[in-house]
Amino acid sequence: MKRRNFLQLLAATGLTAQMPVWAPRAEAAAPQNFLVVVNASGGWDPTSICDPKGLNAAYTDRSDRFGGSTNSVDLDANKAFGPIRWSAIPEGVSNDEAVRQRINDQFDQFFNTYGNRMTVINGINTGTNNHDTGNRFVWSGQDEMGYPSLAACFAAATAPTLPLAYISNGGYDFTDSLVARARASSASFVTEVADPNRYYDDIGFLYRSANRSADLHDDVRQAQAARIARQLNNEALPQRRAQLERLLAIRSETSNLGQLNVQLEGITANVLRDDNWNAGRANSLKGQAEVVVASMAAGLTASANLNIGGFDTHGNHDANAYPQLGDMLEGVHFLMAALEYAGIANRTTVVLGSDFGRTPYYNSGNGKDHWPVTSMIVLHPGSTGGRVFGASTSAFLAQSLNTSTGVADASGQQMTPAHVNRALRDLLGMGSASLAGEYPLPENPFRIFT
Amino acid sequence: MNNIRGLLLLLGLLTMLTGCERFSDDLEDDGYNAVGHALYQQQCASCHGIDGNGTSIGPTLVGCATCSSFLVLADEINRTMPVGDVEACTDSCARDTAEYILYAFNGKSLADAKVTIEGVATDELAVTLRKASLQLAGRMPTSAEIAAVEAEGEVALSAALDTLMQEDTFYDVLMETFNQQLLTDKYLTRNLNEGGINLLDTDDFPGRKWYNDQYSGDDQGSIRGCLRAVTNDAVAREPLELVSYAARNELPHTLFMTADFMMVNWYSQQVYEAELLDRSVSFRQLDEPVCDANGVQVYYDPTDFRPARVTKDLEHELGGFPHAGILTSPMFLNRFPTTDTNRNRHRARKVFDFFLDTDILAIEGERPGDGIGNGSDNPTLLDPACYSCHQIMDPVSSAFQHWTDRGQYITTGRSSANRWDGSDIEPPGLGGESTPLSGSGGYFRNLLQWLGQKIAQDPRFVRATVRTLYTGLVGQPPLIAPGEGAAEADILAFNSQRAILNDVGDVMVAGGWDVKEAVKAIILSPYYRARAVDSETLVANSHIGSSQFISPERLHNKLVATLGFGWDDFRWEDNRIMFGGMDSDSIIERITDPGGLIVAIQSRMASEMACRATAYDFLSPATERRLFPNVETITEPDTPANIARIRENIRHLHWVLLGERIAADDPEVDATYNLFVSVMNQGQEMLDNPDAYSPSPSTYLEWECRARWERQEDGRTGDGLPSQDRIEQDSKYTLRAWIAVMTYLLSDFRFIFE
Repeated sequence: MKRRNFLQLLAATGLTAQMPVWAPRAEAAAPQNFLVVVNASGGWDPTSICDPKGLNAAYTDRSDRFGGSTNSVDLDANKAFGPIRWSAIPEGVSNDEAVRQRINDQFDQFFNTYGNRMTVINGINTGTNNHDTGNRFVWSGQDEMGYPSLAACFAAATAPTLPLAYISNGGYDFTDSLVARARASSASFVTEVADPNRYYDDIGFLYRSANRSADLHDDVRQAQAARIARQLNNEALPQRRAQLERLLAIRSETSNLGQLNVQLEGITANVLRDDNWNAGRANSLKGQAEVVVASMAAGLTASANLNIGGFDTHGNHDANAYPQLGDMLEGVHFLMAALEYAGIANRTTVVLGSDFGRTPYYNSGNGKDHWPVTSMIVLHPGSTGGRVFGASTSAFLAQSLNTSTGVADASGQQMTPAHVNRALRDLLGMGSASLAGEYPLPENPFRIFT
Repeated sequence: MNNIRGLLLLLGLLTMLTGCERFSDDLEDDGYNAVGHALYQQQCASCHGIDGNGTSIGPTLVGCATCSSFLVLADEINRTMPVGDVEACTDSCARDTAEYILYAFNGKSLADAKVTIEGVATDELAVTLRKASLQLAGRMPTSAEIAAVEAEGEVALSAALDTLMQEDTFYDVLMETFNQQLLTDKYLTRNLNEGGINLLDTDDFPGRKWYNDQYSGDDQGSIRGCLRAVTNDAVAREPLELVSYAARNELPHTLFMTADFMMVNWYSQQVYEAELLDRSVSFRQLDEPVCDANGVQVYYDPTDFRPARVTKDLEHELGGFPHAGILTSPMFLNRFPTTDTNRNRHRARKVFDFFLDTDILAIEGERPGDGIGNGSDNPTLLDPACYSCHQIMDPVSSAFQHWTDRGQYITTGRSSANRWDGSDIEPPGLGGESTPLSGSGGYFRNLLQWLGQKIAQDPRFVRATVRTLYTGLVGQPPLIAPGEGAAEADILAFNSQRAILNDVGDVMVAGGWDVKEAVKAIILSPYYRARAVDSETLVANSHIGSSQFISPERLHNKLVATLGFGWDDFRWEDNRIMFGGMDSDSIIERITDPGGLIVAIQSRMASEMACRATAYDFLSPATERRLFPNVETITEPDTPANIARIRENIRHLHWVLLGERIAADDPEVDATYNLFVSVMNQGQEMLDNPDAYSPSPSTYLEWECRARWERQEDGRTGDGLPSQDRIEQDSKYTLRAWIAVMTYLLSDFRFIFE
């Protein structure tokens, strides 16, 4: 797959070689909208969260656990927000009632708090039980290799040359070189490198006066800019020339990295981890969220992958999966709280998903193995009133769906991650972007969001 | 390394690069074989493609590993093809088909390969030597090495590479290269406290935390902590040390699959209570203690790894376990674990990928659309949609049956604690060949030894090994086979590369399966040495060249090699990861495309390191300086001679830091010289008029930039220097002009892209 980003356009038109080296640095426009994807790594069980089946006794021929049922706890009519349903918490999660109560509260608070801006997409058929394939398919819409992730596409389409345009904490984050992927785990290091010439206070390693009328580092910068232009003109190895072109574009923008820490300090002082909701829970996800939101608020980032593991529950599913699901929901709540504090929640879309689903019955180790049917959850900036699109069968199989309503319809068709990704692209305003044409997905007849 | 043998191998490689026809010698008939053509279309084309360039379910046959000779290919087909029915094409069928494949897809395609490589111009040999020296040995080439290469050409380069590959850093680089695939460094102490040791079964290895038993006192925490870290790292590094051991001793790399031993040092020997193969020697001890705390000194060298076997009784087995290279390594088995329902298929998939260059997932063309299958009780044996893949994978899965999810060895059986059920999975084997289980030649207890031997003999292991080395050295994996309908240019690019990499493999095997031979051949190839490409001759060219964004570890080595010490900020793993590094755990892929954050990190590094390294270099006599051999601290461009000295030093810096060999009148020398003069002139003007500036300029260097301490390799300051030796003043502003020049060069593209 060829690179098709902004830089390529520059290169194709020869603009990079002609870019005047003394030209003022372009101020990269801060993104107007943001995307955060939250990956439940390992393959979550939708029936344990947003597509519960209860004690359905659907697989008595395959499992003697819980009467061959998909879940070990029955449906609870109180676990509902409009058409959205979520799982009750089974006793097998823990002997400690306080633990079960905590997870129960995490589930209830999450769906009750965010149900109004939520679309739950059920009955998605990934067609695979393989982690790599599933992860790729769910987050790019293409099960074959080569397509960038949804979040990479979004960053490339909106702000490809921001210094932290796409922050990835793991999960499927292939970019196809459309946009550089950044790891940003230490805000203090980001702050340190924000000003290359700052020794201490306002003193530089190379002299600069307080009012900047004299700044010897400027000579270095100008020499660098002239040098990279010469390198581009003289470079005879296409591979190296492409690398230089990307570097030139990055250096042509003001990084403003110092703002990250300013924003981070505000978030950590005002959105307390332990107050949202439980002390000491979901700290990894909360930590990722802090840096990502600070970077978005600083105008440095357009999209990000958050990642939480522990969902590959081949053994002791209840005891392992429910606490992780609860912590994931708490982490997303923290993300939302941070986005609200930063004033960008109304411009941010959050998508939750996982590699695939898990079997609708328990194995001999009380675990659940891989299963191709899955769900995704989307939190919108606007109100949905609580929406569910799509459905699996009572035995948690994929089925043909009515393309308009999402309900079971023998004359309809099955919904795959390709359809969901196509719909997400439209939702995020990427449907008509040239990038979408370069990484085509099949027509999506499903009216998932409209 | 025998120089004559190396030269012969080198000449063989160079012959290969000219596209010499290699197949006519042992072909029974050079001509077109119509019967073979028909057989190919009937039995092979559906997987390997009509044009032999492969499909999603079958590898390319152009320059394939077994295409090196008619007899080898015919034998391969005879034994293993077609995959689903190995009896369907034997004897004359195999010979006819082999003849057609060699005629149709190899002779022609390799002739094309000659044309495609002709569009590449390569670096000067000295430039290649510098790049390889930094990459393989973490040092600059010596003047003598460069002089020899310039005088004697390729023979001297070959000899210099041999020297580099005998240095300790090379073995670290080799292990890092294989770790990018195996990811067993996840268990190093820097990532997980006791990460490796905790994986070992406490009943099998009751002494796994021997340091806690020997130094149990409340006041012995420090010595325990040191020994814990050293011991854990020895356990964690055991599989990679096997690669290093074979290379260091010029033993065949096939030991990776077949070694009937594991690698231990003194520390991990305590853990495993392993029996050394050579009991006549003791572990090496160092002059300085490795751990020195709480009144205890331990001197054993942690780098002294030796072959040993676990022969002691285990919890469930008498007499230890049968070693089979990395396949029985507890670290490998834990890094790629299994579950009761996965049945070692994850392990099998990795074996095919890492060691047989085969992507099992690419054989999922018949996979059911819903991923669930036809509902049969045992779909992997009974559902045609499933067993097309599982019949290949599951015999390897079964070969792991005695090894539990945590890597514990427990042979299967009716009364065994190992719950493996062999009734619903293919029996152990590989490529259609079943493992003999019973009798004197049976392998029931040591299935993985049989598998390791088969892999070691499989031509795909050659290809897989070359792929691992190529990816590590060149910075990108070999091209994947172009799909149907691919452009002719892409097909030619793939064919060219496949042909060359196959010959790299041949060189390695001919050299006794010595990975150093493959490393050398890759370095000598146009993919590593490319300087320029004629895009009209070579249309598909983005894979040509080895310019790559270097890892934080390589950047550290480069700083040490060029400046004398590293950047202290890279002591922290978070910082290294932000610069594109990996921890082999949650971050298992290096960033190869740096973004704004990484560029900012480089700029910061450049400022700090230029400041610290410039005056520091002048502490040494001119002849021993790394950076400034041609000038002194006060050399100003005030005479033609001094100007020439400054310009010559600039040339030296371009070479040392960026690998650029430029003439004295090159525009790049002019540009760097102008920066030097500009900063010096501005600085002198400021010193002349200090009151015009705030803060007031000083003749003193900034504190951080002064040469008043020793510098440790990790970048921290060491002991203070005697006051008379220090360099703290810069009355002519020349040192700060050099700092500006150093900042400019250290922040250059070519400093982080090698």
